[in-house]
Amino acid sequence: MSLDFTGGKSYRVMLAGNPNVGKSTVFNALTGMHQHTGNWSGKTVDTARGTFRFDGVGYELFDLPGCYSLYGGSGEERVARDALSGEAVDAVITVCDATCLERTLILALQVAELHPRTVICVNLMDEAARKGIAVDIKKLSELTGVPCVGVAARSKKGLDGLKDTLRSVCDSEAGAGSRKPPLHSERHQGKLIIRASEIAESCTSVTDRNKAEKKGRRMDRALMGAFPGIPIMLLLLAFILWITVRGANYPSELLRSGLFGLEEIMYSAAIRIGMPPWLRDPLILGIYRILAWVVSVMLPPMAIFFPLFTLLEDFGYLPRAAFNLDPCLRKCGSCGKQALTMCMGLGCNAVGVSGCRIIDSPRERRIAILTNCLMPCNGRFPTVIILMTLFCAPLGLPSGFLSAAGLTLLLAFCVLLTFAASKLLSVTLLKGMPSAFTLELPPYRAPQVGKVIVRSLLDRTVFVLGRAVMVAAPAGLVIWLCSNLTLGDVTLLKAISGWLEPVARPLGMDGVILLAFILGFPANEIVLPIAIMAYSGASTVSDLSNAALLDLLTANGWTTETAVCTVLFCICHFPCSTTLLTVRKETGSWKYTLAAALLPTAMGIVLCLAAHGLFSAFYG
Amino acid sequence: MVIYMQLSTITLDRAEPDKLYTVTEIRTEPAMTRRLRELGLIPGTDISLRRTNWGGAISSYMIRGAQIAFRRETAKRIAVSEHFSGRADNEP
Repeated sequence: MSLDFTGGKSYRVMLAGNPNVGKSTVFNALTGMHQHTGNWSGKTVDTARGTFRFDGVGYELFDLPGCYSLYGGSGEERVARDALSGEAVDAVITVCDATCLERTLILALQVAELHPRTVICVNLMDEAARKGIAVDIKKLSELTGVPCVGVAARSKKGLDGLKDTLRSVCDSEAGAGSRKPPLHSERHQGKLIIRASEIAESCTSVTDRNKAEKKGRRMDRALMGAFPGIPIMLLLLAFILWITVRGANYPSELLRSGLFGLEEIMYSAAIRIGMPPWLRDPLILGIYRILAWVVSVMLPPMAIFFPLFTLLEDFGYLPRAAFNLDPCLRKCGSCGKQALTMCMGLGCNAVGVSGCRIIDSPRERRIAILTNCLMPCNGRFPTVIILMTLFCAPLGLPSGFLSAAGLTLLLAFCVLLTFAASKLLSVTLLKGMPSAFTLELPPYRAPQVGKVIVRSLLDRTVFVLGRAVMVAAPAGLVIWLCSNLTLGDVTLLKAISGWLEPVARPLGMDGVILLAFILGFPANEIVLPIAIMAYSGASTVSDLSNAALLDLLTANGWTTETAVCTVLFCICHFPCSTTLLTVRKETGSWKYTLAAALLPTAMGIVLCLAAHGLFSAFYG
Repeated sequence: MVIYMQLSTITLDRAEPDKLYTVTEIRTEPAMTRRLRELGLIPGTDISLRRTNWGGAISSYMIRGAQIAFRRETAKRIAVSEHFSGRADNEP
């Protein structure tokens, strides 16, 4: 107990429970916070903290990472154990799943041994009712010797009862004296498991082996397994990508015209207030323009992709996809969960890298992190699509179909590259044995569509805007400087691209493209705009129609080979700055961050050299 | 009228779908054994096969009300026994 800053009492309460029991939903419901919850274990990795008041008393609630046991070896369990044995813990709420009481009660019993002031919160009572499962809370309380409360946190039912019980537990003097430390021998834990099983059996009654259970089994029959599981998975992915690419067009256009229109207004306003050109131009034509470009290109696809992905996640589909792909990824030295991080990487590689936390084995996690940027993110899609559309147009096929087919083939190629790179890493830098792999497949849950979409949209918008400001804005300044400062009688941009020319030629590209990639380090979206700017000799980025763009590129020496090599390098080059920083944060090591930058670049160089060689051999 | 009860022990990777088995022995690596125990799988636990992928490379099982998947090499090291209990009223 402590005194909060209003001078009132404040209790410190820990929230523990297995993964997937809806612990974070309980946390959100009590504190009113909006921590992200997902039907996928490993979502909560740091301890979240929130507060709420009830009946004049303040409570500080800590949401511990989900774990199956207090005495296992994983990071989450250590965090939970340390937090619970800390000094100032006034009470612990262990959340259990009414549809899976037998297993989830084990942790509750472990916690009750360790902590006298415990409450067992049985969540998902509504799901249980739907499955024909009834839990006798009173009996549970008697048999465990601990106060129990039934809630349905999603619909906010039973929370008052929970707060009431919490209050009486906190106020009670139970166990004020010292406690004997619990035994964590295998035998004792085994006894706990059996006790949990017996208690759960006496308190649970199944009224009918009913349709919710059967529906789950039918879905599993379709979604799990090579057929029709994998075709469904591919279709689902294609569908999400298609909606993302198509759906983003119109909003991107709107944003672009809106923001560029705003720029004109700002520019004339700047002239009117007498801002000097050396300040006005870099600020508006440099920084603001790039900012506008990044936001209008980046925001719409991410705002579509991630909500869709989150819906799939909440539904419970993602572990099924990991199940389907595990055998394949295992052969490449990794595990099924990497497939999911690869999908996240399609949205944004930084998100994909931090999503690798769901992989338990450190070695496999690193493989997934280092290979993640071989999947092209939303920022690279437009570049790749434009280039493919432009240079395939002469073949006379309708461009919509072409970009879809081309994109699919390209992605298949990226997946193969990822497999190859993972295999390579697993036999060289990251050698080791396959890990103790287990995967929990939670029951399907209807996602709260409205909530997910709104929250995901907000998250994505904040992320993209934040990144645009922090990363693209300074880049915009640098680019403006490069294209407006002169070295001798050419701009800095032309000069540097000239120096890069001899390096770029063997790779099938030219100095401008290479420079564009380098300057695009902060954000991949600006690579194409920079190239356009350099070619047209403009002092700032501008908008071009497809036909004009094709003319500009061919006038500057682009051939099919250039397009192919540029696309290849676009897929395989160093990750953007945000991703690299995320790699550093997740691995905690500069060595791996360097590897994350070098590996794809090296692969890109090799691929481009090979492509250039092939083209030269065939076309002379 | 005689009631026959027969217990046959096999490894989990040979389990047939939807039949109920009881775990008799777990011979996996220590890290895996610990992980399985956390998930509630100890000798005496009831387990049944739910889904299989790719000819058995990975399968999911129902363990204490939850669906958990693990690979064949793990399943190979878990011994389970199936309960056959039936009435045989036509004797040879």
